[in-house]
Amino acid sequence: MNLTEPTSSDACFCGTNMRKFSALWGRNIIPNTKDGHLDAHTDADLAAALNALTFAERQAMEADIHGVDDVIEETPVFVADKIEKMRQALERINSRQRQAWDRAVFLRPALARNDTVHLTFLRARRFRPEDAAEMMVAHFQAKRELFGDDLLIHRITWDDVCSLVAVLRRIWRRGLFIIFLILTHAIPCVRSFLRRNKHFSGQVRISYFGSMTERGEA
Amino acid sequence: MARLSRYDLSDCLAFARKVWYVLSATEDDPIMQQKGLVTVGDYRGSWMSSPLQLVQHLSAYPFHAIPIHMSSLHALYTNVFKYDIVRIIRLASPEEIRMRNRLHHGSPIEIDYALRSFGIDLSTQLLRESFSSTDNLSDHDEDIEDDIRQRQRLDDEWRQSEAPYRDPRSPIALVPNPQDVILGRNKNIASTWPRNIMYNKLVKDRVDRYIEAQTLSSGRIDKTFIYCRKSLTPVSCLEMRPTGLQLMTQKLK
Repeated sequence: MNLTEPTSSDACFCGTNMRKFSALWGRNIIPNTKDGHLDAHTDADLAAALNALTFAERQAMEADIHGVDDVIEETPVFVADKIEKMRQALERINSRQRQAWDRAVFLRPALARNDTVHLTFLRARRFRPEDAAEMMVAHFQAKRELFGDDLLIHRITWDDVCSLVAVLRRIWRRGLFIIFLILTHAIPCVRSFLRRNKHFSGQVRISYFGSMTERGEA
Repeated sequence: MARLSRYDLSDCLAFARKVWYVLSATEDDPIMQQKGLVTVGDYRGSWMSSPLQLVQHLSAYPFHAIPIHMSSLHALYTNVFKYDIVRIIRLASPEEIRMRNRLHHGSPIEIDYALRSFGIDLSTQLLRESFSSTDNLSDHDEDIEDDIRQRQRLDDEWRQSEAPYRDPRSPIALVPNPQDVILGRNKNIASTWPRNIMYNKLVKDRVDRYIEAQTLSSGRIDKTFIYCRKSLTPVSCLEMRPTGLQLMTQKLK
């Protein structure tokens, strides 16, 4: 295995568990061999270090490498406890930071009592209440910035993403050059100017073609 | 696995909105929430956007705000320069993202091989797009359209479930409708609500006339008020109660 080349496998060596593994091994995880390949001695060291890991550490390392985590068991008592801690953590957050969340709760009071919403954020942060509370605040802040106040407390639908305003804006941006060309060719004095100065007309066409190529349409 | 269609990188916010929409599908799927999500971003191709746009695009990506556990984030590149820039950006990113992020670079076969080591099989799509066969591309587009149709069906179901509350005559309000005037002591929110702005403007415009009208009969004042109300119809007032928002039927009658 070539470890000196920057391949996708370099991601295997960036996790915390890999650092533990490296510490257990007692040296740098990437050996500086001349040909970039592990020799037999290094292989033996690697195998020994792997064998020294506990089952839990090995599982965590596998999760880091493959990006697969175990599902956390959700008992009703555990979930209720975490949701309660998350609500307390939300109250501790600075009121200026949670402005969007407060607005959402004011407009939709059921949100504050909705355990399903809290559980979604807890699952996303592996049941760490403080992190989940911060994520919830950031979620509503980002939603407000992206979609505005009108959709803060609503489900985002396909129509919201591809709204008429967005489509018109896209048409306007892409059709601007076409409108410019039509107008410039339609006005007699401009048309005569373009006929006299063909290089200018060519520049306009090139700029239009360039813009469309950049968007992958030409 | 959700798929995003080709997008215009120059509009970072539009891309962020689409990502938000696609990933919000997990709101309906508790199994996906528990197990997490593996995302694959296909950034292959030539450098179509400036480095500044790429940085803007990465900063606009609402990674920290979408309530989903990202098991891993795979990004595919064929452009060496783009790949190197993203690798440098990754070094400056938070540890949580750095740990989960995997960058792949090379030909479609090399990328396919790398993805297979993570248990992801995208060989059909990778090869089909590299040969850019028209028939296969139409199949791919159909897949995307199927996903969108499925999401739109869920959107319609949600709209139907909330339809009774969107009726202005409904006595219970889950959320204020655009035609509602919100009554309450939260000045920051109430002052920015569209109908409240209109209502305040109406009061402001008529306040001088109201003061002058003290000598007139009360009947004329009422008529003026009724006339103003009709210009705002349909209008309903909501008041914040401990149980939630409640329609105030006697406020404007």
